[in-house]
Amino acid sequence: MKALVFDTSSIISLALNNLLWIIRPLKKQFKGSFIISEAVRQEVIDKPIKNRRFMFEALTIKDILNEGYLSLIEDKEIEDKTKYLVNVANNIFKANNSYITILQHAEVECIVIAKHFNADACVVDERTLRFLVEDYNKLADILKNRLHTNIEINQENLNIFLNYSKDVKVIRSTELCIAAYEFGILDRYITDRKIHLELRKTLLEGVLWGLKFRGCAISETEINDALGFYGLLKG
Amino acid sequence: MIDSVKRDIINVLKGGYRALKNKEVAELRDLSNHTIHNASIFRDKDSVSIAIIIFSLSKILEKNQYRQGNEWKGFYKGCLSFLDTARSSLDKDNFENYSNTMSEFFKFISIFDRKMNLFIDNVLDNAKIKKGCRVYEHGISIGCAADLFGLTHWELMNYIGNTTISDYNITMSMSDRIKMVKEIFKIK
Repeated sequence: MKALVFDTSSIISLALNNLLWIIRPLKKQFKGSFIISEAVRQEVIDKPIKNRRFMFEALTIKDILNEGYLSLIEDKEIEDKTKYLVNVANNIFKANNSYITILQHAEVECIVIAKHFNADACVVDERTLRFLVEDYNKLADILKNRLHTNIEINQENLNIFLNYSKDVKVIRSTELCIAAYEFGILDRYITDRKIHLELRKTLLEGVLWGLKFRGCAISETEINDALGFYGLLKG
Repeated sequence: MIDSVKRDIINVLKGGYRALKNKEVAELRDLSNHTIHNASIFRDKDSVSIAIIIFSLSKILEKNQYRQGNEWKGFYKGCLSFLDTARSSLDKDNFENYSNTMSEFFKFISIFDRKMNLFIDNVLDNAKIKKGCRVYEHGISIGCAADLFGLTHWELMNYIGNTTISDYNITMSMSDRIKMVKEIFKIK
């Protein structure tokens, strides 16, 4: 099934940057489904709508969902598989004789949904899940260095998780915005034709930094590399 | 309570008492990170609570507007008393008394902060966000860190973005990521 599965963090980054609207034109270009789970819906709508600080953003997400640009998935099989995989993921890294709980249900569910529907990718802005899928050694290093203790790895559980998630691609809201940039969806922000080229750099740089400042796990180096990729880097 | 966790909390309570008595803001801030490892590894709520309390005290202590108010003397004495009672309860393995003391301590700080604070944000919530961010920095996911500190993803992400946590450990080159997304969206 042609689909992208969004976790909580990526929706929040987009909403906090007033970029949620790009989901509409992007979905048309993508010609597939944009999926969220029930647990994600609760995190991005039900909880923040009760919080004065984020209730407006929650409302904009609710609107996108009601319009059908995001599809809600609830499935017993996915739920059961997620419970199993959460348990596996949270029994991989051990410190001081105790397994470390590194992932939450909604985060793992994103991977399970992607597998279930053979989706094109998961859109995840938070770091831990992406690192576990892409390079578990980096995650083990972070745990070891930050906790100042030896980290034991349960190889059996690690293999189960990695085998399960091996075909799942992970992108971030930043890559989603790069696609929007490529399609010209973001061009509505740069209408002054005279200094168009300089503004294109400011546009991409501004969007990527905006997402970083709102919690998307992207480094300054990666932002510069993205600008370099499009020949927009000075010097 | 795990024995090593108990020992760590007792040390933080002792250190916190000393630092507050000597009005050492930096020491309090440093102590507030001592139980974050235990919070991350064991998801220990007591380690979370003490980190929030000690960090909140450091924030209160550094603000002149708080220290110059009429309420300060009573607040200051009260905090020392709470720290001492909590430490003594843990020393005697009286966990129920410890837990009650800590929950009263939270209320005590909250009431004082509400009276003195000029901002909508309160000191305890800010401390939760800062310490939750620390747990994320340790490699725990945003969702798990938010759950542990009773926060939403929104509050944590908003704060994490202003840190350099994501500036290290790149797992894939950016050009490969761009190629991947172009493939997904069939962009030529």
